[in-house]
Parts: sequence; structure tokens; C-alpha cells
Amino acid sequence: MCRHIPAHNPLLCILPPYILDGIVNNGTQKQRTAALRTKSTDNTFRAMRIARQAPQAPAQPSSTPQAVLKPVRTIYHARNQQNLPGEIVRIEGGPAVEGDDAANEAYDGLGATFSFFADVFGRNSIDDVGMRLDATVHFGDDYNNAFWNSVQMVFGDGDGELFNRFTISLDIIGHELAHGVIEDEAALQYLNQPGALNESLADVFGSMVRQYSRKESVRDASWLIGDGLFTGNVNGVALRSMKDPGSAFDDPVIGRDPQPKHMDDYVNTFSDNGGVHINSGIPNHAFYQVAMGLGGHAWDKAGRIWYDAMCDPRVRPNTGFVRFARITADIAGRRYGTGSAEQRAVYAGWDAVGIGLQASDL
Amino acid sequence: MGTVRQITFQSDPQGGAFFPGLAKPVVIDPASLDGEEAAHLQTLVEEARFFEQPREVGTPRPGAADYRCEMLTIDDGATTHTVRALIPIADPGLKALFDAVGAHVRAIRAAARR
Repeated sequence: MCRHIPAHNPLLCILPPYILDGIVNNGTQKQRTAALRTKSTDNTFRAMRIARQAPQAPAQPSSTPQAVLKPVRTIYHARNQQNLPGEIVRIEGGPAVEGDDAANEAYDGLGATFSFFADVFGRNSIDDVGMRLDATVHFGDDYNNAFWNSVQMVFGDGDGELFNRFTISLDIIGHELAHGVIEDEAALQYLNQPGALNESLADVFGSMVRQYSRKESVRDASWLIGDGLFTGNVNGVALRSMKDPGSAFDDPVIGRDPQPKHMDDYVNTFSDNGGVHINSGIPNHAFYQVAMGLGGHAWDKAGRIWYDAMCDPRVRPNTGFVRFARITADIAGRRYGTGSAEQRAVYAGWDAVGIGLQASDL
Repeated sequence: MGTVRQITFQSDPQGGAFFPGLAKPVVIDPASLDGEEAAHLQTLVEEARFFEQPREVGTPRPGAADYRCEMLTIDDGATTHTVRALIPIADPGLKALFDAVGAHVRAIRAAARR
């Protein structure tokens, strides 16, 4: 839920939880939204107070009834123009679009992403209050991109020369939708280190969407972003590798994967909004290291820590790697105990990418 | 405006990833094209009123990500002007120019690969 609340409602700040629950159940839409926001903020501070007293129990499923969390998807067809959103070709619950892989992949991918956030984190869509999920496919002519424009997701068909259609990879769909969640929770600037953190979080959640849909363990996962996106003409396996940043492609036309995986190799550049898709390799690899250190399923512990950190009010629009790393370590300690294996794994993961954390930092 | 002598294309940011090879500027010399293609580009530059366009066209919404911008620098002998446009481009004339240049860029890259 968005904690960047444009209008403060003092009435909701002093109400006990059961009153807020009553408003959530019986109030108008506006009242429900305000009450849910207040409950979220209140729960955060309550959790922080409790966490200072004793280690938290392992992650529990959300108290939100999972049965009520349903996506509302609409897929549009741009007819290879660049007008958004385009013509509706599939709505929630509607039949598959015959002969249109992109439309059906987008529909299924949005569903898989919604389910991941709902099942694992109890989150109700992008804004946690059931925001509809809109995606446009067949955008532009041979368009080589997928993007989030802060309202909807947009997918090009690729040029067929270098790129296939951008719906082909579930982690790309998860990545784009995650940008909406990140915007809602953290509003990280899309520039320099906060921008690279923004990109990394989108990769982290995009990768977990794919892993969750396949029920893959951290050892079975490919840790690739955009696997299958390149045509056979490109010497590369994906857009990025979280396991080994800098190794995803090396091609005469598109060049060599520029991602670093250690702060020693951090790239200072004006290109790419200050290297948001370049330096994201560093926190990507930190997450990979943490997940591998903990084993099992990435979403159970490492993913939970990263999600809680993203939602933490200490993450501000200008938050960089070190601040975010400190918050993940703090959350791991609060949730699993100070000095726990989970917290040590978080320390080790960041240390592997050159971000050493001291207990006094927390 | 005079006759277009050189068009330079660049894309930054490129969208959802960064490719060093695709970040390099691509230069199109209309004199190297056949007459019809060169005349078509000249017409598109004029119809887009390229030299009257602002340097920045389009601004991403707050929170947007993985968006793509394309940049054209055109030299007509007397003036050099650069326009950096957020994709999608709303102005139909400017969009037609960027699309046509983009098609040439793809052809140049495909030829380089071969």
C-alpha cells in the first residue's frame, strides 16, 4: 500500500484497529482506502516496536483472506501503432485470444505476477487495494522494448532480427509489474544509484515470479532476466544474469553485458539514466548470494526480507545501495533474530558485492 | 532549411536494458542513399519542422521505468539541431521522421552483422 499519502487524515490516526477494520468492511471506497493506509502504517510501527523487544517468528502468511484477492486484467492490442492503450482483446475471465501468443502470454503473466504477490506477501495488486492490471501488446512496429509508464505495462513485438516478442519471458512481465509496486511503496528516483536499486528490485521480484510459478528452488533457478528474448542471431542468453552479472551476452552488434557484480566495478555514467540497468547488477548479485546462502525457495526468506525492506518507511526516493542493505540486515534481525542464520546470510550477501555492514550501522 | 547533409541517431535510455553496441551513434549520410530515399528523408525533416522542435520532446511520468528515448541530430549545412524524444512520440510528423530513420538504422545494423 502506498505510504506517500497526499492528504493526511488525523481522524484515522487515533482509531484502534477494530474501528479501522469496521471502516474497511463497511465504509465508502474513499474511507476504506484511507483506513487501509492507516492500518498499514500503524502495523509497520507496531511491528517495529515488537521487533525491538524480541525476535520475530518466521514469515507467516498474510491475514488477508487469499480467496478475495483476484486480479482484474485487461489486455489491449495496439495494432502496431503507438497509441495507448489500444483495443481491448481480452478481459478478466475471458477466453484466450486465438492465434495471439503475445496477448495470452501477457494475460497469463499478469496473473502469475498477481498470484505471486498475493500468495507470498498477501498483496492485493500493484497498490495493494486491487488496482486493475492493464497491458498493451503489439505496441509499435518491430518495437524492441517493454516498459511501465506508471499507469500500465506495454510490450513490443521485437524486430525479429535481435529480439523476440517481449511477452515471451515471464520474468520480464513480472519485472514491469514490479515497477508499479516499487513506485507505490518506495517511489525510488529513476536515476543513478536509487534508479539502479529500483531496477534491481524489479529484477528480484521478476525472477521470483518465474521461480514461484515453476516452484523452483534457488539451486534449480536460472537467475536469468529475459531468457528467450534474444533471437538466434544474438550471442547471448538473456538481458541480465543475477548469478553472474556481466555474462549474459557478448555480441558483435549489441555489445558485451556491462553489468558489474561488485562495488569495485561500479560504473559512473550519464548513459542509461546514470546506469540504472548497469549497476543494478550489484544488488541483484547480493540478492542471489543471500538466496543461495539460505537455500530452499527464494521467496520464503530472502524474498520476504527484500519485500519488507522495500515497504519499509526508511526507504526514501534517494535511497542507495548501502542504506537499502542496512535496512535488509535490520529486517532480517527483527524477523529472524539478531545474529540468526538469516541475518548472517544477509550480511554475507552484501559483503560479497563489496558492501560491508557493521552492526553499528543499524 | 537547407539540404540535409547528415543525420545522427542515438538511443538513450534504450528501454529495459543497456546494450553498449546499440548505444553507439549511427550516422546516415543522405548522399549515400539512393535519390528517392534521400528525397523522402528530406521531406520528412521538413514536414516534421525538425529545426523548430524543442530539444526535449516528451517527459516520462513520475514512476515510469524502462522507457526509451531516441535522439536525432541533423546537420543541414547551416544549422545543427538535436531533438531527444520520449517514445511514443505524439507529434505525427516527428514520429514519421524518427520511424524512417529508425528503419535505416536497423538496416545498417543488419548489414553490419552480415
